[in-house]
Amino acid sequence: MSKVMSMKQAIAKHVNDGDFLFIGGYICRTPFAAIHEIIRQQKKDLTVTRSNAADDFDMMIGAGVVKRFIATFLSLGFYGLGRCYRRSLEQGIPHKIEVEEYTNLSLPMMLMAGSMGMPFIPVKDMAGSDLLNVKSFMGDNKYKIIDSPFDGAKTVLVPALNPDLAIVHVQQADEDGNAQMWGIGGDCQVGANAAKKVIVTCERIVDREVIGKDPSRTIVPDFKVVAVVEEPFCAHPGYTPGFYDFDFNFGNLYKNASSTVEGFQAFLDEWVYGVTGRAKYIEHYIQKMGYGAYRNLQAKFDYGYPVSYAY
Amino acid sequence: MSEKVVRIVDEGLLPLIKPPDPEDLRAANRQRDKGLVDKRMSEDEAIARFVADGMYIGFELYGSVRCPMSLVRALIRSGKTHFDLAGQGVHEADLLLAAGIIERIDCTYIGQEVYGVSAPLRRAVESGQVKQVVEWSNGAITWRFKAAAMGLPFIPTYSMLGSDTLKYSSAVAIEDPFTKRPICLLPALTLDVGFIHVNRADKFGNCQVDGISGFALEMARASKKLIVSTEEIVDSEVIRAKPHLTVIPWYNVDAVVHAPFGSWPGEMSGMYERDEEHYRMFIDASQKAESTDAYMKEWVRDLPDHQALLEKIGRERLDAIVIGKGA
Repeated sequence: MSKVMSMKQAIAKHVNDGDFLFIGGYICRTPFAAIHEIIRQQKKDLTVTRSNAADDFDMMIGAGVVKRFIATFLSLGFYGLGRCYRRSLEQGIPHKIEVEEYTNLSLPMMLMAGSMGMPFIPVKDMAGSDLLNVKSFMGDNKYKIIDSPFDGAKTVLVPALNPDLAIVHVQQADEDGNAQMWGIGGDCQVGANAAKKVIVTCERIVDREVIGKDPSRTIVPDFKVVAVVEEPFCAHPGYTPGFYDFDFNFGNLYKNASSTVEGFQAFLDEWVYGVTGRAKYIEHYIQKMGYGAYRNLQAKFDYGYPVSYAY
Repeated sequence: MSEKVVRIVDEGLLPLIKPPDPEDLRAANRQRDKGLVDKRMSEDEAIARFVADGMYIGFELYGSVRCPMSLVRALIRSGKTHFDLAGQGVHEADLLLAAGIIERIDCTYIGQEVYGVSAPLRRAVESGQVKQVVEWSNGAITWRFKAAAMGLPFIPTYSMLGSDTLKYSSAVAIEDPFTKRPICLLPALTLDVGFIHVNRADKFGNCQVDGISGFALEMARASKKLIVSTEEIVDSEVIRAKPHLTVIPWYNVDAVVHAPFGSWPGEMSGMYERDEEHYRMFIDASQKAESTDAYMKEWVRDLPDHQALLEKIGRERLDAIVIGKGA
């Protein structure tokens, strides 16, 4: 059964106020078009999670759609700290979000536990740090310490996470939602499989035959998927191996814009509220930056390999 | 800090053959040469260098798919003995048991699938030659390796709960401190030496598997020494062209053994089918100790190496199982 729909339909139908969302990516394959749509539809009180959060999470926090954040860290990479994140925590603009902190190892392991049907997972990396002393909305369920029944050693257990919905961007998927990804994976696969349902956004929809010929690349099976959105250039300003490269100029533009409340609002007005969807966003990008800038981001097709890893 | 003693709700009856020791594996990994070193060698050399009497060993396979049979035969010929063994077992476990070199087993399944219970296993256990058999589910043994690979003392699972597999294991069921429901904890398992057969590898040990990957990924990372046999040795360029198929990286590997038809009489995905005729012959032979010994002499002990085995099987018979030729 085809689950193909538009981004607007997918977000309207499957993202509810108060939901717990996993959003895949990390500069690489971030479903930015979905994030913009969530902001356009003014969703509220979301709990969001991913290790290595970046400009995408910063933008959602600045736009006021986030209530809680199960976090490892949030930064704009070499553009420094997330400005909206900082304003939210320091000044309550637009409101102060609640943050539960883990590490970049523990959080993917919590999602892995969720994807494997385990209720918790032991971890080694939080012991001895202040991450055990500071608890937020998860309270006593942030972690537990037990004596291992095998050797008596004190062992930290962190709970499995099972988000209501995962949104992941991949290179290709079939109409049923079998999703294939290559390049850096991050916690995308465990996050998607830990969630109760998944929205797959993809650069291209391919036949089931294409998926079946290269099964090792499939990260999400169709029965987890509730919507498939074909959205080329979805991850811009992030990159998607084989399709387009990271847009450094746009990263800089976002850093500058988000440095002030007014600048951030103007950015949203122009790039999110000012367009109806990703097609219009691309049109606006080309008008503003020139076709050359858009063309330069596109990957050269690499004929040497069955899939292209080029940027 | 919310420290507390766990409440144990159920416990396997059998003592743990190998308690978890993540530091032991870390120390072994630290000592490994991480350089791109040519690790090609013969079965005999790999076993002479990395295997000693009394070690805890494991073989990775899926049914009769991708089983490192040339290494199994070489290990038996080496005369080394008193091993503890982990994993699923089909033909390879039968040969090891028939050779009388296994003392204790962390067992998920040893059998002949459609042909029924393994006669060599039955003889070895009923006679007391194998001193201890500890039961685990198929998933459990993989997760025990996964726990070791991740440096964890144990991993939680709902598998085995409520069954007699838990009773005859060394697992512990506790009250989950988050949900208060029972949960089974599986202790991490580290191997002294792991043996894995793959479709292709480069000389440094970057290994690729086509088709079912079984528990190769987990076991490779839980082995202090890892001997890999491979159908083909290819340039690193070939490996790099399809990085997503590389399930074992070079730094986990200590020996790369070139073994075409290394899984025979088992099969290799995309390469050759199972030699059913030979399987049936072995099943018949394995029913009695004397005929098993005769099989072992003819097909294992009297042959100097894997090449001699291939010559004994013969080109015609091998061609008949090769996909795209006879099969």
